[in-house]
Parts: sequence; structure tokens; C-alpha cells
Amino acid sequence: MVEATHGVLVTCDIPVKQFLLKLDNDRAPDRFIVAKLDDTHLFIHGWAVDMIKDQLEKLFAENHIDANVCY
Amino acid sequence: MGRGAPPPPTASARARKAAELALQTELLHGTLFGDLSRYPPHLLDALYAACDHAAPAVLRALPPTARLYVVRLAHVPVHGGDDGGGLTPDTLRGWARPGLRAGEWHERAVAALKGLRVILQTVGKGGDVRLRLNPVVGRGLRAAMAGLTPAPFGVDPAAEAGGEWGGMKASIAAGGTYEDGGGGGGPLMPVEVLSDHARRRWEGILHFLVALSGSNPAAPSEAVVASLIRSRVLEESGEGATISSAGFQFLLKSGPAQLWVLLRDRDFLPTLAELGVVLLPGFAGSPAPRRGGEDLFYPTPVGVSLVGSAAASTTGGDAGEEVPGAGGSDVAATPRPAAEALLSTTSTGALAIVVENNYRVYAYTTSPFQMALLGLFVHIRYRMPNVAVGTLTRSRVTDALANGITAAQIIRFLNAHAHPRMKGGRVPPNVADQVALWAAEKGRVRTSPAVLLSGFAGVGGWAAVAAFAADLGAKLWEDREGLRLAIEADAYDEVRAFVRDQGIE
Repeated sequence: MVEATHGVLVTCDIPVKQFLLKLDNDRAPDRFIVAKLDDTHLFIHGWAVDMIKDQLEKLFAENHIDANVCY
Repeated sequence: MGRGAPPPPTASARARKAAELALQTELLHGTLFGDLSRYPPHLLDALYAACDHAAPAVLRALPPTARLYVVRLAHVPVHGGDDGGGLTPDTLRGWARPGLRAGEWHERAVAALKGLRVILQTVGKGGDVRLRLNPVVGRGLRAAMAGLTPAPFGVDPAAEAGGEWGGMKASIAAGGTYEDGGGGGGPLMPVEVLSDHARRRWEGILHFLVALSGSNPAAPSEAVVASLIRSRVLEESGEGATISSAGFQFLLKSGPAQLWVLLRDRDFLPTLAELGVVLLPGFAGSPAPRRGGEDLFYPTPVGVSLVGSAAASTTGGDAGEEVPGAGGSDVAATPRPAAEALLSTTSTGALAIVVENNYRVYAYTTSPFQMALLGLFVHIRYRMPNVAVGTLTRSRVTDALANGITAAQIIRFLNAHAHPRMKGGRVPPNVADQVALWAAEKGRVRTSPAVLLSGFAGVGGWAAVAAFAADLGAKLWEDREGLRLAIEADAYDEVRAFVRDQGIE
């Protein structure tokens, strides 16, 4: 019997996937990952999309050294 | 098959996306000569015959290979011996140097020449194809090469040498008939006044686009704003107009290409005056001519450079992505004197930018517009009378990217205005790479509403559904081993109907 699950497909690179897996673990039992598809694809709940985008934005911003501190 | 007759919602969404893309392409790559080649043949011939400047202007517009062919053909006797004159296509192909890409350039050149009716193709008695130069174009070219063509817009060469340009009867041009009578013969206007006027008007419009609400010494009128909205450079939103993402790309285009986008929408004199293409005495803020020149208009260098705009615009200019099919080497090989001429007229002394490898940007310019334009992707720290100092920051660049400017455009813009003293004349590689990386950040994660199908009984059923979803263009991800499939959420209803109708378990 074919089963259908509604959600959101996330296509990303490998580091981002690892970050999302960690995020998912940290938020237990409030997990958002429905299925780990492969190295670069995850299937998640729709409600988590904005949250993970915020978290990724934070991660990218943390990883970026602002060249203008010395003013 | 379970495919319903009405188009699925995804298809219409895709069609809309395609239409938007086409519109963007149209806006970005629509050029004077691209439009010309869509004219019916008799109109094109009439144009070449009516205006002495048409042939040289078209010559400047052509790709370099085509330009070479035309210059050669101009001196090949049109009416040859018994075979009716002209060249066989093979002879023409023989002109191209044997090489990897020569064939491609040759094809492109011949296509452009035929499209603009510069080369005419005739089929002779024996069915042999002959190519020859359009005689009207040939005459115009030979005259131009011999220096017999009077200067455009009735500029009196003697007056030009003296630094003043003659006026033209406004009534004649407004009536739509172009009577080339050589010099204009009206009272003269100093060229500096004209360039200064043109620069202020044109920058006023561009400045308006960059800072819609900010103070603007030469804000455009309602008519121009309406035209900008019609050209989709501006979008109407809740409270007034906002700049569209295509508009941001418009800002980084070369001057002539920008001008053409606006000119396509309108052709009457007051608007041209508003755009700074011509100076119309008595029009808001225009300097008054000497006595006797009240009913004249004066073409400005911006207007004159429109005639020579094509070299810049057909090769993509400073605009967005490379035109598909236009070889990169062509772009590099084409000199762009017209674009440079316009840039130097529209920005008081060209904009010269130094980018240091610590992301610091020094922009030597006195134009508030240029500073505002830079402010789109550079965090301006301070401004001095002739220089703005700022930094390329991640937040500013990502904002610009969100507005539809691409990383390549930013780098190309900075390269195009590199300060002569800058090492290598290019943005330092680490800065260029970082901008590209900031852009790539946006693409690191893509999310799309989807439905995950699993639990297929056999690979046959899975393959049928996968093929059906691929046909719809709705397949996002597949896993043959695990018999799983992710499809677009919009297409779910159709796929479900297919699964039910086919009895797939």
C-alpha cells in the first residue's frame, strides 16, 4: 500500500544536514525531522521551516568574521 | 491514464514563472538592434534609405566577426559577372579563420547580418544561393568611411570644433520627419552646458530609483515614473512605487542600455527632455539659450551616444548574466567607446573605485547618485566631497542579493569602475570569492513543500509513479533501493489519482 506523508523536502549540503541533525537531537522530544533521506536530503515537518531558516542564519552569521570591528 | 483535462495548478504556476523569466530577459536584453531585427523587411530598408546614420550605427551594433564581413563586403562589387553578383555562402565561410569556434562565430555573424537585412540572400536560376550586401547599407557605409556623412542630429562640424552645437527645429523633429539638412543653423549652445544638463537629468532618474524617498535635486516627473512602471523597472505597491528586482539589475546596466529600456516606451520630445536626451529650452529647469533659440531643441551627448549605443548593448553591456549564446570572448573583444562616452558624461569624471583586500572600498566620485548606488551593496562609512569610504559587508551584500542583484553583477560593476591605480585593475580575488560565497549561502538550503511516497509493493509500481511524476515535472527526489519518492505538494492530487487509477500497491 502506497503511503503519503505531507511535509517539506530540504535539499542542502552535507555540513548543513549534520547541523540540522544536531538541531533535531537538541530539540527532542520536539523533533522536526520526519525521514532522513540521504546525505543531502531531509524530509521535515512544515512547521519547522521558518525555525530552521532562522537557526541557519544564526549559524552563518556566527561563522562570519565582521571585518569592521576596528572602527 | 489519470491525467485530467484541465491543466494542473503546478503547470500554470510554471507557465507564470516562465512568463516572468521571459519578461526579465526582455527587459534585460531588449536592445535597440534586437528590436530592429523584428521589423518587417520593407520598414528596415526604408530606415536604411531614410537616414545616413543608420548604416554606420548598425555596423557598430554588429558582433565583431559580422562587422569585419560588412566592411569587406562594402568594397566587393555588388553586380558581378554572369552569375548575378554576390558571393556564395561557401566563399563567405572561407573568410572565417579555421579554428575551434570560428564556425560558431561565422554562423552568428551571418544570422545577425541577415536579421538586420544588411546581407540579402537571393536564389539564382540554378538554385544557387547568393549573398550580397544590401546596396542601401553599402552606400551609407562607403559614405561614412569617406567621411561624407553629415554629423548626427545636424551638428555643424565647424560649430562642434568650436565647442558649441547648433539647435534643430523642434517642430520638425516633433512632427516625426527627419530632414537631414546638415548644420542646424540655430543659435549655438556650449557643449558643457548640454552635458551638464544631461548628466543632472539622467542621474536624477537613477538616483530616484536608488533612493525613492530621499532628497533628490532633479527628481523625475510623474510621466517618467509612469514610464518606469510600464517598463517594469518600478513596481506599484501599496503606498507608491517600489523598485523591482529587475530594476536593480537595470541600475547596473550600461547607460545606453538603460536609455533604450526607457525610450522603447515613449518617443515624444518633452519626455526626451526630461530624460536629458535633448535640451528643450523653457522646459523645467533647462538653461535658456541665447535669444532666437526658443523654438529649438538641442541634442545632448547622451542623445548622440544613443546612435552608437549598440556595441555595448548587444554584447550584454554591464548588464546581468551573459546573453546565452553570446560568446564570452566576443564580449571581451568588443570595444565599448559609446558606453564609456556615456559613462563619462553621466558621471562627473568617471567613478573610480578602489577595493582593498580587507573589503574596504574607496569610491572617488562627486555624484550623490553614484554614492547611493554603491550604498546598495557597500556599507558607506563616511563621505567626503570627492570620495566615499565604505566596506563590503555580509549584511549589505545579502540585502542586495535579496533585492535581485547577483554576485557576478556586483563584482562586474566594481571591476568596470576599478580605479586605474588598483592592482591588476580588478577586485582582489579574496573579496570576489567572498561575495560569491555570500551569494552561495542563500542556495545552501532549499526547502519545498512536498509529499513523501513510500511503501510501494514492487519496483514496477514505483517506477510507473516516478515516471508519471517526472512527466509532470513534479519529481523532487527518488530512492530506487528504498522505493521512496518525493513529489511536489501541488502535484499530489494528480499523482494520487494516477496511483488509484492504475491500481498501484
